[in-house]
Amino acid sequence: MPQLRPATDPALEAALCAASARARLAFPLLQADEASFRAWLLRGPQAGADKAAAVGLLHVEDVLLACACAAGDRRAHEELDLRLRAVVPSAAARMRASNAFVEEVQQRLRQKLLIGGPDGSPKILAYLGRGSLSSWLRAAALREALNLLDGERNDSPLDSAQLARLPSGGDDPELELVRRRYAPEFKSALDDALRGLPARERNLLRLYFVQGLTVEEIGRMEGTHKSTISRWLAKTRGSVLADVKRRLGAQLKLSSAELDSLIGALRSQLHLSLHRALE
Amino acid sequence: MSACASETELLDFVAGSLGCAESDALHAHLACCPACERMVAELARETPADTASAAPGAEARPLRRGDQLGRYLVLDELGAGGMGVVYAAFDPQLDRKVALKLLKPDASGHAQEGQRERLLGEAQALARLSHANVVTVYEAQALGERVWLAMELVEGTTLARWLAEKRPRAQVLDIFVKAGEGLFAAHEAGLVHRDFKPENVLIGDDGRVRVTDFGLARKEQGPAQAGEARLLGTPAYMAPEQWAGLPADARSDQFSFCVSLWEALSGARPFHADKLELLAGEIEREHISAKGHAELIPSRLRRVLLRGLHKDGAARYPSMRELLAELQRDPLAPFRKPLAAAAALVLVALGIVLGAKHRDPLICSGAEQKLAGIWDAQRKEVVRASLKLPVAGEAWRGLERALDGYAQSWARMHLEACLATRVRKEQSEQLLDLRVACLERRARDLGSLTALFVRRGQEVAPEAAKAAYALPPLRECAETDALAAQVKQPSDPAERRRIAAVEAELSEVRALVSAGNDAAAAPRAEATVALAREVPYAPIRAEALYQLGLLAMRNGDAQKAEHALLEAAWEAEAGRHDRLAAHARIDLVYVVGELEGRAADAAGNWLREAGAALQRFGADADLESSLETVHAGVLTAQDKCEQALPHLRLALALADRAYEADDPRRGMLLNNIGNTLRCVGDLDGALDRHRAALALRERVFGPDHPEVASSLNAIGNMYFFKSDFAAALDYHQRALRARERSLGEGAMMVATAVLNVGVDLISLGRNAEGRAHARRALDIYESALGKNSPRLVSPLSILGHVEVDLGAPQEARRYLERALQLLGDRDDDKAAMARFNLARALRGEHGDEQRARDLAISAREYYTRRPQARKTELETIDEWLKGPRAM
Repeated sequence: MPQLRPATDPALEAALCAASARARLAFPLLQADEASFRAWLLRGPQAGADKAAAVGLLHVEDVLLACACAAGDRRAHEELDLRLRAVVPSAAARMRASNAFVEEVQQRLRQKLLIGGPDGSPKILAYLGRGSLSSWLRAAALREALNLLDGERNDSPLDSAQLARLPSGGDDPELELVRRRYAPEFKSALDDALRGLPARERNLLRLYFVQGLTVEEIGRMEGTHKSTISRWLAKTRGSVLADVKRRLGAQLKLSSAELDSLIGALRSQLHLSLHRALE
Repeated sequence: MSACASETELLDFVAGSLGCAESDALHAHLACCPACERMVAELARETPADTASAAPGAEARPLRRGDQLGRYLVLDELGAGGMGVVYAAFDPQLDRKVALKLLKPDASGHAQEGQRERLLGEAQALARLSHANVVTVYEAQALGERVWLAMELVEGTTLARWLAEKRPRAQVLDIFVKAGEGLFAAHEAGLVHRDFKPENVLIGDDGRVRVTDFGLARKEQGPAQAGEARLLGTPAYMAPEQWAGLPADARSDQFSFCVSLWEALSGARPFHADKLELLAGEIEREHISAKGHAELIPSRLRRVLLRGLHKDGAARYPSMRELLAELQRDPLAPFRKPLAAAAALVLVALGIVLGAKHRDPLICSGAEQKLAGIWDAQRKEVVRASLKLPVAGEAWRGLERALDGYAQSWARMHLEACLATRVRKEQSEQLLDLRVACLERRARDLGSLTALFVRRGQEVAPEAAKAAYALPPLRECAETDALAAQVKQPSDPAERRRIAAVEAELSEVRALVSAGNDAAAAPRAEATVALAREVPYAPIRAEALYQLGLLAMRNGDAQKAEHALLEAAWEAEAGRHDRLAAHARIDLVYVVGELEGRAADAAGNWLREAGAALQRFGADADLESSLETVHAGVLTAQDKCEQALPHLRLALALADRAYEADDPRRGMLLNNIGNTLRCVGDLDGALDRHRAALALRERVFGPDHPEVASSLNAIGNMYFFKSDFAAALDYHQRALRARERSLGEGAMMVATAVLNVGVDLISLGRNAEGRAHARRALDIYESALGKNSPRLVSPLSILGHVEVDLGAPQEARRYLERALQLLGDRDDDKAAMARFNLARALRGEHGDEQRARDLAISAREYYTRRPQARKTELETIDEWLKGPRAM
């Protein structure tokens, strides 16, 4: 258990006092050593933040609960179980909708939280109180579910060979021929173009096209408005397409007009290709 | 690979609160760690369950569409103010829309002991109060440390907004007196408003005045510093005792009421300072502003208001009752007259807008005459002449059948609606009005379409029948439940007129869209959406957006289509226009699955949304058929032809119920089933369906329509794959003639058909004719696409092949070298065939034998690599390789 270091800063001391009072008021019956609790609170603020202010913003009741859990308080464990039951099933079921699986995730997670993870210490120690305990538990449940599924998951069964066998859109054999004819070049140009993007842009594209996040959700993540993300997506899509066109032009030695008609024929597949190329 | 991120780090990341450097490092990790990426995706995608299970301390994140609060489903955010956020929500139990107000937690993020309980208590007391001039609160609950209220959703405006326009004094007084009665009723029940102001008075579209947000204002938590009370709400309306931090009572509301009324009558508030401290001082000193037009307030009224504005509560009126009585005293009577006259005018205007329903209450006959000039014998002839269709031709007869059918159903339904109300007394006058209004919209759609036919004539003739079948279904006007469920049009006659104007525009857009006149339709659809956005009536906005979405969908503009259709769906849901919502949701599956190529996504949530929208509307063969069709499309796009088939069959069975036998949508379905059967290798089954599609299309469109040509071409292809080249030739030739007539001789689609005919001819050994066709196809492609288009490969290869057979190896070599150049280092059937043909050509002209053999061997090598080694091709090449000079 981390040792209490006396807070010399009076503002910090006051913040800790207030936090402690607030938490104890919420859970008067929980058994947690004050020194451990305060040490725990001090781990909460992000590096470089004003500690006194940041401590006040922590979810101090939840930190007290975590602290009491780590100290082995029976009531705290009961409260933790309540919260686990509230968040684990929906989180785990998103990974695999099976009761047995959900049950397994819950068991393992509880074990790890209270007894110990791979490094031997109880995982609950990693909760810092910056968000609510429930949302942290949900994240931990998702991680546990992913670990359980590791190796079984096969999200990307498609390869470029399949891209070349796309079903025809209509009854025009010539157009279909063009699509099939240049699909491999298109795919490799697209792969190259995507590889040229910075990691962040590639990730955001993947989150949008493959994971299906909305522009609102990505906007929240990026701390910006959804319309900014929308514009960014359109712009990136356009520049990827321009890059693909440039690469295809160099590779196939086609004129700009021919490239346009080729890109036109392949454009309808761009979304699909992006989806697959990003996988 | 770096170590996986911790839960805390990932949570900070999705909340956007991770530092720059950490965030970059995490991005680098995400790029190679699918598990962390999945975590990010799941955490960013918060589920409604989080809100429902929110424990104390859960984040106060804004609610989103689809979130559940209590038994209510959140729809849209309506607005946010000082005390919290208001959402429109749906109460599935009572099947009505409500407003949900989620109150802000305190600035500290944690409830002051007792604060939450006090708020909750007042809200619950309010829920027990029932008065015509107070917004009804249905329920008040706590969510974690926050309190939320479910209350009556008032469609209308606020008094503040209403006052933005200049209003006659008598009307202003009338509204204020009603609001005052609401206040008084609450005071009687022991409730104090604490923040009365024009923003907190709602004027419904029904004309009812309601006071809202009782007792919700409260002092913000925080250290109260001397001389600087920190206050919520608009301080300008507050009574001196509230400034002093004393508890507010009924007489504080009286003070606020008088400030509001003073402002409404004179254009300025009685106290006028810019700074808070000064304002407090002014109010304390009763420094009534001279800056406003106080002279606009009659002196008697001014005296009444000044008493209500007294700094000392005890000197004001004992209660709102006395104040209201003073405000309504006789001297005001002269002002009441214009108000009554205005009301009468409103009634007259409504009568006009709703149609003269009382003109002929005795009989329900004469519905047909209502279509005079829209679709009658005379109009028919004008339309036919404009479209330049021969009287006896299939195309005219198909169109006439479709429009006659529509007109007859229309008259039948008009009669039925009338009988149900007037004769059988099964439905209310109100419902009759709704049904008649719906039928009138459909009559206008019919009128717009025939007007378009006359205006554009020949240009739209090919699509005329299709457009006729695409008229909005009349069934909609008999769906009384759905009609009654739709939100009502605003009662303000001016707004109704604006809605009618948008409807007329929309009708034109629909006609243009269904006639395939996209170039003209697109700008008008945009304009109509802009117009519709100005109108406070969600169903019409939904209709306009839907047309915009359809257009974008047809032009393959996936992003725009998704945007417009999604917005249409939301507006339709908000306006309870359930049929349209279902249509939009179904089309979205197509947009996402096929246009955006996100078939897997479409098969998931998008399809479920569509299914849910359909369920909400109720069983309907048309919608169900469309849903099955898009479902099949999504499966086909995932290469799951076998799974797609049952959906398509079901779609067709449903279409048989929903549509006329000749509806072109049935033709499209038969065509799709044919393609899918071909995909699973059932050539005979495919042939059957394409034949049925052909028969239907010929009946509706006449012999030369592009859709007819498509069916002919598909049938030709099936025969070709069955190696019945004579039959293939027959159908491909018919397809060619149809395309030449409908599209012109130089169209790209014509080249495809010419080439197909050429291939059939060559397969039948008619090489010279085949060559002529292949040359023509080459010419068309070259003049349309230039000399280097990849599309030239097919005609070039075929020409090369046939020239060798015709003994012109030099010619053949020229074609084949070009084809190979365009093919680059491709390694497929086309390339192998071109190489072998080039080998034959080289030997034929006694050219480079070594190169010829190399080409043949490389082609042979390709065929041996094929999964099912091509026996015929291999034998042919081996035979060729044996004799160095043998042809």
